Amino acid sequence: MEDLFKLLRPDFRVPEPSFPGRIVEVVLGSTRGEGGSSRHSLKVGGARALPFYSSETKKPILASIVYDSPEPLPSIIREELGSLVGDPVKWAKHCLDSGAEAVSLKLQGIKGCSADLRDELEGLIHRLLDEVQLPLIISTVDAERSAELLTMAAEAAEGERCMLAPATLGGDYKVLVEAALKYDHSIVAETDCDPTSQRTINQKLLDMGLDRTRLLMDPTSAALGLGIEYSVSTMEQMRLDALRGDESLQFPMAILRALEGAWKAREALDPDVSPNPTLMGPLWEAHTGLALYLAGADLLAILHPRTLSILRSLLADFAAEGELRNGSS
Amino acid sequence: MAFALKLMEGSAEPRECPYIEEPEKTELESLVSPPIKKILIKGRERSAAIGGERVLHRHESRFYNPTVIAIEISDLEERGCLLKELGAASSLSIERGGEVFQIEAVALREESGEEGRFAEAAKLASEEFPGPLILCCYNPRLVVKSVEEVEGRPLLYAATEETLEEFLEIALDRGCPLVLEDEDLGSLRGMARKAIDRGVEIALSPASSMKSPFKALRNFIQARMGAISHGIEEFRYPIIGVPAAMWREVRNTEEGIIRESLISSMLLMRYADMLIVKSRSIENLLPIYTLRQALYSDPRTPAKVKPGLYTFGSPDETSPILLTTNYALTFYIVSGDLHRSGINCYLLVLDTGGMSVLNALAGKLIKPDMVREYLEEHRLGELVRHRRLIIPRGLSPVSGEIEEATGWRVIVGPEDSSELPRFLGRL
Repeated sequence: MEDLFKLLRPDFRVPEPSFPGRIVEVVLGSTRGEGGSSRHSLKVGGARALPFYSSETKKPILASIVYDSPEPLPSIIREELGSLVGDPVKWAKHCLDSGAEAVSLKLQGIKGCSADLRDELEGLIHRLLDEVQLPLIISTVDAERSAELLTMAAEAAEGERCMLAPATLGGDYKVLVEAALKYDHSIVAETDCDPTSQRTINQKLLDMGLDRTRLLMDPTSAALGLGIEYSVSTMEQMRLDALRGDESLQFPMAILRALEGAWKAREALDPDVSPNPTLMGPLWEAHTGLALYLAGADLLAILHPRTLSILRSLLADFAAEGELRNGSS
Repeated sequence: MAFALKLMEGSAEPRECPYIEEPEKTELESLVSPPIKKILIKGRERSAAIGGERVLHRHESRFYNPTVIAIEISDLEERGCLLKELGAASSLSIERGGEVFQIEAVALREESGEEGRFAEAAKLASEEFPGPLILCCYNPRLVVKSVEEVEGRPLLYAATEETLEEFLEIALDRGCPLVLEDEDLGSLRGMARKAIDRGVEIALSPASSMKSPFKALRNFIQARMGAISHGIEEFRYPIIGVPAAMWREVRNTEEGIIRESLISSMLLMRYADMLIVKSRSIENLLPIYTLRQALYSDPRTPAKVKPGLYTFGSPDETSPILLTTNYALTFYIVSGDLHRSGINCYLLVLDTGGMSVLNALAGKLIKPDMVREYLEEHRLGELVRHRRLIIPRGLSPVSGEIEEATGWRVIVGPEDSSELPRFLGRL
């Protein structure tokens, strides 16, 4: 008896979790062949379990955040990026070179009256599409002008299958859905760590005629040290509910805010905390991204180029171990 | 009744019940004991509990015993170096959000191949470090002597398939818990069966090297799912992770720190009850501790901070005064924004029982008189010359009432605290 295990050497596997539900796959970006300008298109989502609970685990899509103005950036990032800040196209090219799979363009600085603004925004988006050729996630920071700006951006990027963000319960989501339908984009519905309002906003967007393959969720902005437990618990709960069959939550999670939120943590920047803030900051952001990926995130928008390279090299190991599939097509 | 409730939620042990006798105690224990057994390791002054978990996900109830962080020290170090390392491990202390982090355990790794040297290092560690020790040595013949030199109840790391018999003897003889190590979960299960049948307390290490951190992660998840979802008895034991092992592959220190820290973090997310790490650097440890603090907080009680007056920078009599609630998440975000803005100001934090601004307002927990009392209690009238109070946008429905109760001019601030720097700049 005692050497039975040794003799048989059973290849032990706990049964794979088998859930009835599956996360929808949303396509981001449109290649030349598909009528767009991206060098590749990406499939976001498609999970059947939480990462590493099943043998079919996908790596997250890594997008780089690019601001149209230097205003909201922590000084350490401004110093790091130097002349790239203030030149979104150059900045996005740099992200491409560092291995970003998509660009998360955050509109913050565009000001002025409507006509000028339209030209400026259109110019920026066309240049990004032509010169960088990465799929675009376009979001706004200023809630008041969000619908106006995103509609203009959606038109400028017609047919490119971008993501538009954010659709919020308090905001003008109807305008956003119309723009997405008209110009062929998907939408990121945003809530703050609350599954109930996430279900509500998702349902409202779908009721307006948005296709299920055009909806993503951003349920959190809490980074490490700033309440990441809420992010982790909410995301795991939502993902498990979705896999168990809750159709109103079966959408990929695109985390556009939480990683840059890591730079709000005192630990990320304060030289009193770490004598090496050029390491600590990106590491803090990477920890945030990794934890949220394990909690179910399908796409991470990353602020610091070094964070991108840290996560990329860690995830490259994964692929090498044969545990991961890639999302690119 | 109160005791019964505590039993059910795991904050009391059947052993502590004064009214029942031995056979009932044992029976009760098997009824309420958590799916993952808890083992106790003891040092000269402190002990640590590992395991005792009940769920796969925090939102299902909570995680109970925070992952013990142990620092690995090699017995190859010269005595002076060892003393220095042990001293540093004993004195490390990082405060964050009202909690003090320390190194809970020391893992002494035998690399010398010399029984005497390992035993001497173990003796020194036991004398110098107040917490529990983990004796890391794969050769059972080198371990025996070191166990004798150690006070308390060390953890033995680790038996492999080849050394299991000898290690079981030592563990039984010395009454020490034993870690079983194998990357193959089938073999690990077989080893665990033997150890359980012999009555040895065990912990599991389902990944010996860290060459494939994601394979390790898979194994951790599989073992824990096996225990909790499928009731596999052999896996109902604490899981030990050894990110320190990855230093055998890495040279550059900064790259090593990044890898060790991230691997630790991901194993901590997924069921490591103890982590043995090598780098004592703040960049390695602080993110791990912060994540641990977050994940092991109880989701059933709102996270609160101490109400009262907080200052940012060096405020003077012209500096603005802002108001918020003591919901931890709100507080951390607001204070983070203020801290980074570099603006000198006061932040008055109301006791809303850990409710956020909107919830506190809906629950009528923010009373205008309360604001007046806070202003008086903290003598803000004397600290500043102006009489202006900035409240969150969410509180605008009661701005008039606050003005009336306090006699201060109330200014409604931005909706999101990230806009505070700009907002305050315009004032």
